[in-house]
Amino acid sequence: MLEARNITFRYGPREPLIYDGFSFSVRPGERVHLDAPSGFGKTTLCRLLSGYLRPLSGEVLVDGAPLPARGACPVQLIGQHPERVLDPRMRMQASLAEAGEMDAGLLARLGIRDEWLTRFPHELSGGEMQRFCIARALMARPKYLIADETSTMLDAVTQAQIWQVILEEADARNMGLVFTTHSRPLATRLLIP
Amino acid sequence: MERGTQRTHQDHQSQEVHHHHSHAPHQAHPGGHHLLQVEGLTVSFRMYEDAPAGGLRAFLNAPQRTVDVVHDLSISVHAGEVVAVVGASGSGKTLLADSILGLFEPNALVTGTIWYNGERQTAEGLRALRGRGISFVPQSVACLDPLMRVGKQVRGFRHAGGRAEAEARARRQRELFARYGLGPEVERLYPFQLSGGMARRVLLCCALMDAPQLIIADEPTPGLNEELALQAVQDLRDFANGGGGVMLITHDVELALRVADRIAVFQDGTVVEETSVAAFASPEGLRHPFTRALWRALPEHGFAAPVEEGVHA
Repeated sequence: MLEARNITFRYGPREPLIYDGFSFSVRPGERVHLDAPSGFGKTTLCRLLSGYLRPLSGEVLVDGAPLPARGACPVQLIGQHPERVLDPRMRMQASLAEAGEMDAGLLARLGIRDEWLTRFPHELSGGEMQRFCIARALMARPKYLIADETSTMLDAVTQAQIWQVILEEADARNMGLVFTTHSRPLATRLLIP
Repeated sequence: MERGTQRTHQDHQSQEVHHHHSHAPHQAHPGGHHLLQVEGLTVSFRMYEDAPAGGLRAFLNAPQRTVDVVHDLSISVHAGEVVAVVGASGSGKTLLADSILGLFEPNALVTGTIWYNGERQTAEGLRALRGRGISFVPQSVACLDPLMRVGKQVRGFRHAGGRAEAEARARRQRELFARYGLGPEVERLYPFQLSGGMARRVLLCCALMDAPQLIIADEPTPGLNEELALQAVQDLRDFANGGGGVMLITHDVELALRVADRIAVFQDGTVVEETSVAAFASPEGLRHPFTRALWRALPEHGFAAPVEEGVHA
């Protein structure tokens, strides 16, 4: 189980508290839609759950243990801005290698073309970069996947294609899935199989 | 090319289809020309082949090849019109925007012709128009300076008109912020303190600061909730209704259909179908297989991921 226990968070000592004694949990295989208006802290929660931010107090636990300080995190985040999480000076194959063993089948299913592997991030479009971020997150074999507006920059065809892959992987590995989206039709599709 | 264009301009009133598109009769061409017209745009990149083994000499002489990303693309925008460019991510939509704005990567080769307000433009001309006629709403929120408070970024600095102009710009910035639901405290924030939706509204305010004639909006809505996204495109619609032109580059077909006059469907570097909004009522009205795949993949229609290669982005 992925748990946030009594977490408190703010961005600075004089900033307002965004989370104050907040608790939340996700079971393996469960799908959760986080829904709130823009600016209410959905992304902040996603970052707290995946270890990108540390709560001021309280804890984030996976199966009762805190997130590890080293090695691949069992909670992987796929964010809204792939250009911010790829090293601009690393070729795509090097960025992928960070997650371990290359999974050629997965890359193919995500529509990643071989010629993109030797490119730098700025030589790819936002949607192409996002496919790599999804591949990297899945190759790290997470127990929980946090998808924060993951397909918001993708066209409808690509969106359907990558969600199909994410949902198949989530089902096959009994992965818990937390997602945010502003698209009501998409949320409905993801929650009701 | 120049003479041929003058001839087609004269035929505008009599021909239903011209410059690869048709439009409703009420959409006039003030001054007898389009606000923006792009003809035969091709963008390619010089890239290095993988360097063959063999030390420094081989490395320095690594062969280059040219990769076509946009090819033979034509599109036009009339004053008073929203043209939505929809299509697969990675199909070169952003490069179209960059070309119109004269933003070229050092290794890009760009050919084709662009007219603005009836005048054929050079690369320098397009650069000069940027911010003085043509404004841009970029796709990436990383376009904001991370080290500058956002109010100041929207106002700009070093004004020729001195204090009076600086104050006028501050007033305009506050008006725009208020209109887009950004509180007065937001102008003191740095970009990292903004939510994704707030950052996009700040970018839109930047574009509107200098009262442009043409707005190129590259994906202005991701990260906005439905209400704000609708408001953002409605603001572009209002801008067009006030006589401006808008090229709305988006992957969001549904949203495009709500505000645009015409839809240009973009795939693999070119416009494969330029059609009226009405044609999207059902897949039967759509001509190109990719346009139909796009329709069927919408979550509310079927969420169908096409299996056949060649349709995928």
